[in-house]
Amino acid sequence: MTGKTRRLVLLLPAWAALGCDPAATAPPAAAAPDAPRTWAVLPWDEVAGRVVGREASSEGPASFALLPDGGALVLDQVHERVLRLDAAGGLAGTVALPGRTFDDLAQHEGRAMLVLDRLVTTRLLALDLDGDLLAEVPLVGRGIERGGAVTALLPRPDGVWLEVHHRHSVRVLDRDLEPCDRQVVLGRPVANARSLRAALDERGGANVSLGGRVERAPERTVSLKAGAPVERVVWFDADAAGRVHVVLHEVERSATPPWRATHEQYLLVVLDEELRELGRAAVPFVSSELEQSVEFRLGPDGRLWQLEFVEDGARLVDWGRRAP
Amino acid sequence: MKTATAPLLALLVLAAAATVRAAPPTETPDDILCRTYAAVGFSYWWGGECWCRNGCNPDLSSCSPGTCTPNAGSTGCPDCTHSGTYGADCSGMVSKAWQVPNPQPVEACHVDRYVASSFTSDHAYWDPVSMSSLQPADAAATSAHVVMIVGGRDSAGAWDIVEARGCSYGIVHRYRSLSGFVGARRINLTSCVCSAGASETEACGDCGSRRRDCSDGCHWDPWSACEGPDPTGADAVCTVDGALGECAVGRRMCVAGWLTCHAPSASTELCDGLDNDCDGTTDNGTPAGLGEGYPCTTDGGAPGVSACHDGALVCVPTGTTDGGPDDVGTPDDGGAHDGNLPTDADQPDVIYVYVDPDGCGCAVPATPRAALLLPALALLGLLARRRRR
Repeated sequence: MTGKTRRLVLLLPAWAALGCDPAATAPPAAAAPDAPRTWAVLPWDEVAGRVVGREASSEGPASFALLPDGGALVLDQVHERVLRLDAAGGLAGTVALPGRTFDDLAQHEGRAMLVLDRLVTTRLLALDLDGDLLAEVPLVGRGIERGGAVTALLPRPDGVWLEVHHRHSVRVLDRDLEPCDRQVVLGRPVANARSLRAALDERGGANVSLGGRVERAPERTVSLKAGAPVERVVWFDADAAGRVHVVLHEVERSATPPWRATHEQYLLVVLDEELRELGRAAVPFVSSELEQSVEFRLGPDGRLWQLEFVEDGARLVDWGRRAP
Repeated sequence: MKTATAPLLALLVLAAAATVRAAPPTETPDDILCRTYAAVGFSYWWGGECWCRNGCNPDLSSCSPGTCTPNAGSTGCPDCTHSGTYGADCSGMVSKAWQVPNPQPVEACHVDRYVASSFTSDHAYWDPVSMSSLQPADAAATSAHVVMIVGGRDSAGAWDIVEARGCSYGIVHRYRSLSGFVGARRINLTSCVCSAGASETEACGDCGSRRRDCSDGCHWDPWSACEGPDPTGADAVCTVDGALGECAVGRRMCVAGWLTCHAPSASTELCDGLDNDCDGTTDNGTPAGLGEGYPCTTDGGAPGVSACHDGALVCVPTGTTDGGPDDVGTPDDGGAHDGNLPTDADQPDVIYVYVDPDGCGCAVPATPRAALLLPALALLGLLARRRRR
């Protein structure tokens, strides 16, 4: 790590003045949500690497993770490194990576970082926070027929899971971050031996389901609708209290070819453990032309965070608790 | 080694060329997909458009896939260097897979092709299509990038695509979101690739199969989910390496087409003779979790407290250290008998059953409702003892 520290915190108390007040779209039952707060801005190129593709895909920092100490990790794969931010949002150091094709990042209990290379070396590395290798596991094996089929990296108390085809998950590391017998479950494993699933319903909405980990029929399902057709389930997970957080991408399109988007936004929805809706909010910042694997994460305290790309750089926004 | 300069010039010239062009061949979407899949694993080559195939698979043994390296201080092409004979950029890959502007073998390098932005507009060789109606062998493009759709949109709305992603990645097969992209479909596709009533089944995973139907009598529906029957009999029993207690023995199942050993997860330790929390020791939970330390009455009418012994709750006379099967009031390494009795408010809605070595029991129900449960719990206690034997 380098000792170089940069102060990058930018508070944005005038959020509402930008027309971004999420309370404006909250349902009547929702309590007043926390105000979103820009926690850090990582300037392009100097700090956060990006590729502006010409006859190629464009990319920015692919993923991020929130540490129990209040800091964060940001995958700066273009610069072959991970950025470590302190609890105030300042750049506390960097960790070099063995390659520049890693496309996902997560943290495990504040003591390890997990970096995933789906496409080129097709492996998952567990590193300590100084970058020393703890474990390496190839992706392809039982439950995963090719690295490009991996759709999420899911650290859990019982180990590290990889979601495949947005359909099932495979445990590839145990709780001690050792390679283990691969266990396969449907959906995404959550606490209490449950499984969480989210899918488009092909009617312009999305279904969120909770049930047993291997039972094909979930125990309960809720249908979520937005103001415009939902084209993508951007992200979903459950917090320590069992609340389910879902981010949907709703898009209105022109009626004439080539049917470009005329308006789009993200819809954040919070459900309780019975999948009853607790609140929702609109997010105006949707994915840009710079691709990223992970746009949202839950912090250890249940706060929702977004890594978004704006003109200045990559911005980490704390959306707070979206439900009472 | 070749720098990007020559391909750049060729790209600019060829993209604007108005030479005589043959219409793309009449063929099925599968023909386009076959050429596309054969490109996976070849390098990204800015301005390139060629690879080698063995049927629908890449031929990476006869042909070197090539390498692309960003130049010093660069993050990617066109400030990059390519080595090797084969490779493609995004628009070169789609142009060759689509056989536009001219039909050419995939091995043919330095031939006419289009740039990504071309695919965002209507054209003599392709038509715009909405993103919601994209099918395999369609393309999706922005002004700077174009990808080939090879499968359907998955349940979360991500697309199954092949793309020449960039210098560091090469040509890859993966899921991605296509926000900001517009769709295009090549002309001269054989409109129907299957007939009404047709269906196909193929194996997937290591225990599953999947099926697709020709529901509209013309196009294949997406493949169904990969599923298979669970093993039965002796094949259904499995053990989990490294797991302890109740977490160690499970049921082998076919989940998403893959055989997996599904064992119970660790849970709260109960007084049942089992290692519920999977730490290697039975019945070593907290007093509250085990149901210990609550007032009760022995079958002799003496006051006592509940204690966990041999997987069952028993009523031990108060003040005794050897009158019952456990040593109430004496701390032990499991933390179950630390002498700190729960308060009345903490009492669970259970009754306390004494089962002596002969199987005779007595109980003091805490409530009338609990009394109704006495026979059932006594039976459970007996069953637990028999299971241990």
